[in-house]
Amino acid sequence: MIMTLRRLDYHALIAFLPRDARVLVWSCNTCARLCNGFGGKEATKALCSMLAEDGLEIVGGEVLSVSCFKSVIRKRLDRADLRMMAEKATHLIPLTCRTGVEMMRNELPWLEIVEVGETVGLGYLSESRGAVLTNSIVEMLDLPDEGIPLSEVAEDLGLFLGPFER
Amino acid sequence: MVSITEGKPLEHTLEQLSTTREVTILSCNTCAHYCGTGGRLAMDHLAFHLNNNGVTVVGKELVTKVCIQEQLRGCNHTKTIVLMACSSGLISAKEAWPDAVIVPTNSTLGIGSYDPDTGSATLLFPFPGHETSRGARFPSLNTEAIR
Repeated sequence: MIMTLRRLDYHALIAFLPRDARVLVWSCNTCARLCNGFGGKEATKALCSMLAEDGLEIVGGEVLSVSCFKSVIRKRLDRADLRMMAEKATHLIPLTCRTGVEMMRNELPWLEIVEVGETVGLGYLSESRGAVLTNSIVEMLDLPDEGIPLSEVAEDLGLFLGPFER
Repeated sequence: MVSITEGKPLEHTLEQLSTTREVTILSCNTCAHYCGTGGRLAMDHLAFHLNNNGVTVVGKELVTKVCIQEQLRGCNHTKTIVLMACSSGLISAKEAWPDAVIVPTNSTLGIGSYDPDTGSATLLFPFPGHETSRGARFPSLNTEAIR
């Protein structure tokens, strides 16, 4: 399971987006959801609601089971309603891992991608410890054999855990 | 993104099992399956070779994601488990079954992408010690672990 944290808090996100942005939120419902709810249906719905309450135009919130498979993304983009949303949008917020971001960048090159995630490595979902990072792709992290809970990784790296909140 | 794994040679696994008569094979059906180091087919191959080399496979368990620990509930296993998963799956299984002896068949090289159209995974972010394999595709032609 791929472990992803959040780079920005909500205030930084809203400050970054231009007031006339038309926003599409796209999320992965597997690893990103299991990283303390960084992605997934609920996180997508909540972020869309918050942005809309703050006056931004939300053109859609799309959730895929996986966003790291090109063929899955292309199949979804074949759907007319989603294609229209993507063509109408100016900004895309991917609640996905790094590969998901790259897939979006390749498939939807006209959109400005707002990179809100930071993929930190590989891990597992423990029944007692929650999401645990076991292998890091971040050089500054030195991990013990049993890994580190993702919440501690967020603290160590100065990143944010879970979904956007006010 | 997927974890990229490479199978260790069968001889290595047999060495680890030199004093073991009965095992359960536990195989991950997601990332490891994409890399040819897990899934049902690789598990069946490994079972065949273990049985032929004096290690009796008394159980085979296919788990969608070994790294989601709750999916391990309900798995029946012997004292020794031969695990076809990535390093995160290994830690997940060790935590779930602290009294079991777990023998991993795979090395985890890093993180990458998978293309269902070509059926291959590519190593994008190698872990320390595997930097020279960046960009390599898996399953590799070296199928020694399941030959």
